Amino acid sequence: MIRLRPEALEKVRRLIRDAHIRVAIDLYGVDAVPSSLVEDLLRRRVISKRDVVGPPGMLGGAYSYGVAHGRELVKQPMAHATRPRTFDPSSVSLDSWQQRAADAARERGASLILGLGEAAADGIATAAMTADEFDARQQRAIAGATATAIERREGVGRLRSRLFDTIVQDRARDLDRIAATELTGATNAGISDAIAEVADEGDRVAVLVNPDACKTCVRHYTSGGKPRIFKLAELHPWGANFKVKAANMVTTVPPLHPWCHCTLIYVPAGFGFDDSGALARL
Amino acid sequence: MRITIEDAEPGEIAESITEIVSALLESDGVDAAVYLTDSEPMEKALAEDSPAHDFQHQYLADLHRAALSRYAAALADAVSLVEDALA
Repeated sequence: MIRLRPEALEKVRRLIRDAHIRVAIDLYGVDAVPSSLVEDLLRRRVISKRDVVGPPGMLGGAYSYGVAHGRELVKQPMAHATRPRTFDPSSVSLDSWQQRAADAARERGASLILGLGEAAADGIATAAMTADEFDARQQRAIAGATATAIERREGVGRLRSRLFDTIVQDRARDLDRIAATELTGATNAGISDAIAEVADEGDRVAVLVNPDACKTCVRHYTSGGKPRIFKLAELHPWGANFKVKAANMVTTVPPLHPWCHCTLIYVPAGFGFDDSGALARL
Repeated sequence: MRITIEDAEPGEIAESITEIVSALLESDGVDAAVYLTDSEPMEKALAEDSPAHDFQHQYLADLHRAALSRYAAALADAVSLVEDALA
């Protein structure tokens, strides 16, 4: 039988939360995480100052990447077909408002990781307690040292299995979705903001959908098999469809929904889409 | 993608986490099952239409993979510590 005392459960929860705080720091930079959380980790020596990753973190350069690409699109609209394999976020100069947007994107990503940590910690505690209660019931029903030994071994296996399911099957998938969606969101926000730097009344944008895009993106972003052309201001900010059912979604700067990989492009005056759906001078 | 670990020894779960994420990273694209979330038919449509929904851009794909690897390492560490705490 596994008996988990409240202190043990709290310890488990803290371990899971700590792991997610560390990941949030690594992915989005230390300044994207509340300083009280960072100071607590340092005080408890979960991390050292050497472990603290400065901005922008592993993922936090996506907005700058978008700005750089958006500026390139304005100069060369066909550049949407080519993007660099590597990129140095520090090579891009951002206006103060763009820097705030970049910081906001990192803070948003970090907050989602921290939220994931809370959910994982709760899930772990629930799984551990549920397994513990089940073991307690079994313990009462089974008498004898041998049976107890077998039950303990099986109980440990069940508990591990539940911990595993809780963390890996749910949370790794969640992190995967967060990383993919936030990268797409920050990049397209950067592209949008770069276009806004120079766009005039005649300028337009469109959204390129993948050949295997979902029906919702096809409906919002295409018409007659070609990308629809929008004024930039017509597109809602990304994130506007958070927890909104597909039928009620508004058309946003991509991502339209979690896992959306669509891309904003610039359509200058005099350009449009030919019969094949490719951007071309008309 | 599931691994039966009823008979796992301490530490094996952490190894399994790393193996699963490594398998995801090594596959060409991401397992369709990963796309099945709890919210919308849209995600199901994604899974049906897009079994390997690759990123269009290598830079973003590299960041994504790096994030998954980092998270796998963190989960493996955390699970090891949890197993120690429960031992």
